[in-house]
Amino acid sequence: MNKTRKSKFPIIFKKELKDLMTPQALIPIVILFFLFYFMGDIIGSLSDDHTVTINIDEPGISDGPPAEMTVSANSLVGFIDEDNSELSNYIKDNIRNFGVIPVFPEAADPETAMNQLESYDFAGEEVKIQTLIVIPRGFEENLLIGNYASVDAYSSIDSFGMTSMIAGASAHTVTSAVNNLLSQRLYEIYGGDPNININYIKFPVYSNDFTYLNNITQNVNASMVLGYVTSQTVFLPIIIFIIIMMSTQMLAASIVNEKTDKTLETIMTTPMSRMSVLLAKILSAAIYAGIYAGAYSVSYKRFMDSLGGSDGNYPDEFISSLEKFGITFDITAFAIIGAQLFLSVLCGLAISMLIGMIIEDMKTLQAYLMPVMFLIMIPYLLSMFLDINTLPAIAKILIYALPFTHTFTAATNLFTQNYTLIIFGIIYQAIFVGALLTVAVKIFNSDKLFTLGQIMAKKNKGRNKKSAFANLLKK
Amino acid sequence: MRNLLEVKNVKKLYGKKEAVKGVSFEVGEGEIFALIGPNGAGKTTTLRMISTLIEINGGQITRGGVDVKKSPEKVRELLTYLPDEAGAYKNMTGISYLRFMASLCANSDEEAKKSVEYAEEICSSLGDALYEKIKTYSKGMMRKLLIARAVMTRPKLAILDEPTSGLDIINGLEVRNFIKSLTQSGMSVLLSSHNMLEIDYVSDRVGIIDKGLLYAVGTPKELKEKYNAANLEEVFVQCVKETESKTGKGGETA
Repeated sequence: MNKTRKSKFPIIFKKELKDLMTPQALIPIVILFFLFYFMGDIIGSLSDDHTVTINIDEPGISDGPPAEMTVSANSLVGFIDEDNSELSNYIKDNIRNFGVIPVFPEAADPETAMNQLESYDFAGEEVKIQTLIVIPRGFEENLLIGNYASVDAYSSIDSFGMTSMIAGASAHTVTSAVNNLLSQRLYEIYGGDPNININYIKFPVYSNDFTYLNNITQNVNASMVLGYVTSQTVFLPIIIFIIIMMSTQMLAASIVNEKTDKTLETIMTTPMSRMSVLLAKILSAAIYAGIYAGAYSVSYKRFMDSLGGSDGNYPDEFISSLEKFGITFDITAFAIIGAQLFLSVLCGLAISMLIGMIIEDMKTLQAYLMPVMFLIMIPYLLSMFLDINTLPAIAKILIYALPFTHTFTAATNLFTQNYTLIIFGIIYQAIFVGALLTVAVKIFNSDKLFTLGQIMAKKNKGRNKKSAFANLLKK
Repeated sequence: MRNLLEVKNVKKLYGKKEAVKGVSFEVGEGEIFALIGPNGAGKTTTLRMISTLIEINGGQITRGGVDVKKSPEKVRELLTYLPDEAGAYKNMTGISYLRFMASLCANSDEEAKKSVEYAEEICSSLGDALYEKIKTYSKGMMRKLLIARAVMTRPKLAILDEPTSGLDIINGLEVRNFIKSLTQSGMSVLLSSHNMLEIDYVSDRVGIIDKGLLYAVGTPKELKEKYNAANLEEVFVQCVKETESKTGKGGETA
């Protein structure tokens, strides 16, 4: 008889696939999917926020027939013309050819003007304009006698995310546009003069850079300020991330290891209070994480120094300006960051304690720790790429609901003097930690420490049995 | 013989499930009392309640007059517990583990030193291995080390859960003989096992437990006579059947 042998591959393949596709394995995939999906939406919404629809017959925009166009808010640039000369008017009238749309704040004083531009009514819409160019008195006079002329370029920084990077670059773009415009004009005037310096014709204007931050103006370049802040705010979250991750994993592993080896039961029957056992575990995990972070901090700082990224390589005047802005780390700043870090570590430890108590083996522990790692990674990654404070309200609430977020944004909030958020963060973290620790300590002090894991394991076993029974019935 | 431990109508619930349903027995000074029964009978749960690891949901346990529920830390000073399949810190050497555990239990350095000396004496058969990492130990070596740890402080009561579980014949016999010798120094031992032949050899009195109920208590000889059985395994089957047919559920509650 010719019997066809049925392939055994689908059976073993189905079993292997089923083994891998456990809820514990699928949860991280779902979280990762939504994380990037969500981040994409957020970044998309940020660029949407910075566009505005305008009538191009708006005064100073165009002399042509009325029409509408959508422009980026970053192409709007404030102008104060103190010179009011032919050349300065030539710049204002023609700069739109370079993608720069000039607007004219009422205030003649740059600082007040910057303040007005923060929420400027343009074509019926409130926009935030982050760049101001001041054409000083004597501008044309200097150029016409063959001297270089300067414009004062003011850049406003109100956050330290991607949008500020764009603003920092904007002042440079406008100066280049001014040079391009005047280069053509000066060529018309001096084109035939053989003695004229060609560099002067090409770049007749240089910019005197100012940065407006925390209602203070300082004579420093905004890109440099942002570079400094980025070096600090990128560096800190890495350290914070390591400390929280390490301490969380260490404590959970320590509890589960002791449960697996049954050494915890032995320790718990010695004449020692359970709180001493718990405290010893928490402290040692925190110290280990601290040492790890310390070693990382020192080596990473050395690495950054060698790349010229730390404040050690900035001129004293620049550091002095940063101090006036309030964006250098003083003792208070370190104390605030330290307090928020401490609360985040405690929060991680409390979560890992709870997980350690309900898990009986290391393999399951890894699967359960994965979602916690994502809770730490979400604010970590977001704080690296974005200023969370510039996000839409709902996104902001969701992200700040994660207690770790407050630590990751501590430096940025300090730099922007957002003390309300700092205080709220500390209170929120403290309440969160208090609640978690109370539950964790209560469980540790009860026999649930030994029974919860078994109950969980039995439940899972029961579920598997049920599904096996259901399969049997189906057959 | 004075009672060192009194267990009265003790109950334990895991959620809605009653794991121990009102168990009562006593352990006298210098006595070896064994709880025997199959896996899941409630032996370990009972031992865990006595050793203060888990709370009791009903009844009372007193150790030398001290209530386990009211003063767990005081009770822990008077007993030691060796869990079933217990391990030790694998990165420690045997001797450093003993020193560590002695320092946790002792009230002074002198007391800890004496405990370690006694432990070294107990596990002298380990030889130089005592100074090697525990992760290199065989199951038999580990068990010897852990039993030495459990009795080195010369507690009034040593609770040993399945002390010979997983051991080969020679190591098992060695451990059994050692447990038997402990009573000579006045120590009481409460142990559990599902190996009824082993219990027959080592214990003074036996409690037969199954499904959270204590079916009978007595010396192995008394029980074998009562149930007209050749060994404790037969005693177990007979007494479970008999009590269930009499009461519909069975169990010794007095």
